[in-house]
Amino acid sequence: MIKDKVSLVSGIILILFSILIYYESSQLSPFGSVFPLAITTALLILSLILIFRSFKFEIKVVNQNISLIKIPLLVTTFFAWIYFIERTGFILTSLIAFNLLIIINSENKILLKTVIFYMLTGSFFIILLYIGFKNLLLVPLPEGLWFRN
Amino acid sequence: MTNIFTDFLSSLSLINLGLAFSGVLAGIIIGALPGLSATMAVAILVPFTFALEPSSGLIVLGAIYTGAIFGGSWSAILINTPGTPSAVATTFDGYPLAKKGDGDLAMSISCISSFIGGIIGVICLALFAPPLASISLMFGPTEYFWLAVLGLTLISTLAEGDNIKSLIGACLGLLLSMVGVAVVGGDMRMTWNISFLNSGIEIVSAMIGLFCIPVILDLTSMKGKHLNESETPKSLRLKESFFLVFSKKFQAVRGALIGTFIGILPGAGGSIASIVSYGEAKRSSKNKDNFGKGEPEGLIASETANNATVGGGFIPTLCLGIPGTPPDAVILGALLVQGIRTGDTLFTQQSSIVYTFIFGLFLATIMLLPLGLLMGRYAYKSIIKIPREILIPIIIFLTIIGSYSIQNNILNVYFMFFFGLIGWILNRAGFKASPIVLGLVLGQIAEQGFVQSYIIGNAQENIIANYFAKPISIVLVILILMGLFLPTLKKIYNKKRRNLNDQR
Repeated sequence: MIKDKVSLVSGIILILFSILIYYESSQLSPFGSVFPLAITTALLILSLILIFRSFKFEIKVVNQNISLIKIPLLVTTFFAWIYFIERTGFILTSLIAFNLLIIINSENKILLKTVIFYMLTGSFFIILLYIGFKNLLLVPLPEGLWFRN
Repeated sequence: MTNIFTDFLSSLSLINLGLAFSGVLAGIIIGALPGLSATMAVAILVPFTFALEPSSGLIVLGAIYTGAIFGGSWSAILINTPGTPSAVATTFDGYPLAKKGDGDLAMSISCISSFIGGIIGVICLALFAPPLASISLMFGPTEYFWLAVLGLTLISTLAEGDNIKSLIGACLGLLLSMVGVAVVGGDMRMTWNISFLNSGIEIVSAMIGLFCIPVILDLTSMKGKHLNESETPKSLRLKESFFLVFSKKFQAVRGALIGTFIGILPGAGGSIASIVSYGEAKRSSKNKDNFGKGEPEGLIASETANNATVGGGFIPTLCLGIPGTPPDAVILGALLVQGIRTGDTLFTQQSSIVYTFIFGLFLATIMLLPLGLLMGRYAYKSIIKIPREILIPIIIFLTIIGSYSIQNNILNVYFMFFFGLIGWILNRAGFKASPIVLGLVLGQIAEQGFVQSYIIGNAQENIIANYFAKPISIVLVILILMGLFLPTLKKIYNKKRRNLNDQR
């Protein structure tokens, strides 16, 4: 009887992963393969222990509830932020994505005035850090296609 | 003696004091930002030091380094993301303390502990540098391998949660560290034809992703306050913090000595030091069960050790020309540019530069205390006051800008994002981020030691003896076995004793 489904599934995935890496490592030279082979063997043994243990008892993992609306929206915006940085430039992408994230994370009860205040403060923070990174730390942040000299 | 006194006075010049102050300040800010490591902080500012006197240049670099190592604890405490890899163990008890509403206490304890660790490290550097440097030469490839394994087993058995899953996490971290060119043999491994992976996985971007993104996603789903407020919000809780650290003075000194000792070993660095110190503190503590739930003793152990590595790391750097930690390597480069030759003769022929530098480092560590306490207080207050609606975009912005600035490459940001999502899924399945990150950090040291020992053992036709028959290796293997099995054996013993008592 399975008592810990998460551990069982994790164990099976890890065994498949170990076999894949073991196979890949076995194609390498003796010096390049000795350590990966040792570690994948250890991973394989630990995964088997995990599977074996999942039939005996469960170690509960306390997780927070997931917001099914906010998390996909946040992940998509986060990815879009990264994707567009080199295309539309760091500052413009950051300003748009930052303010979008404020809206996504705002609770219904928050006044529009407050949200606008957050957006203005956030935009100021972004510009300040952008200047700091670009001019003081000399990080060449992407300018984007539109603002390129 | 007169010369040393003159060096001390010269370190007290207005310029040196100002440089130490601004170095600590800049270091704290840079170290607190996830993605900007102590190495980067030092590297960015090296060119500015070329215009200064050699000793002043060294003072500013040492001060930045000291500040950055301490600054790494801020983000570890406030947003569960170590600013530098050496602050990984600080997240274990720092963040739970902040969540409970004792973030101000955690910030003050971290500052006082960093100060103690830093001072003891510098004292060891000033008094015992040449004899201590010889210790680092006693560590060969096998000893480095076992030291890395010790760090990994300790983090796996000490971090909150499931030990088997933590050990699996450590193995995953080690496998991640193997991506790219093999340290011995030069094979191209696990790159899946992605050219960006040829140089391996960037540790800092993986660390930001694995620690930060699960926190962001949890904050998004969370209802109510992200951190509880302290019941005494207007005080620095200085008295309480000093009392707590003072009541654990022995543990603090022990943490600092562990940090100094591990700092001496080239390449080992603050991440192993803080984990070993944390492990030792937990092992010997009366409050073992509170570790990982916001135990100040855990925070003291981690922070004294990682700041002590600053002084410890300079010992092999100055005496042998072998950098103890990555920032030391950058500082060593700056020393060579300034025309200073490291080695035994440095303490005799160019003693004025060395002692002015050591005193400067000492002063910088002293400045860390008031600066860290004041700034830490405001950082904590700001994090508490910032509404979640704006805090989440700020953290995301910092993760992006931080991982981009590592190599000025957008692919690092993609990797950070990818690792973050994987880390979140793993976290929900009970696999914690800290063993994976430590595996990634220690992977190269472990592999190099393992393969080199294998080659030496093979040449001597006795592989087993090469791994297990050296005195330091034996001690390390015993510690590893104790770390792995002692907690389980103790549990079984206690259970049996309880059963026997029940039967009576």
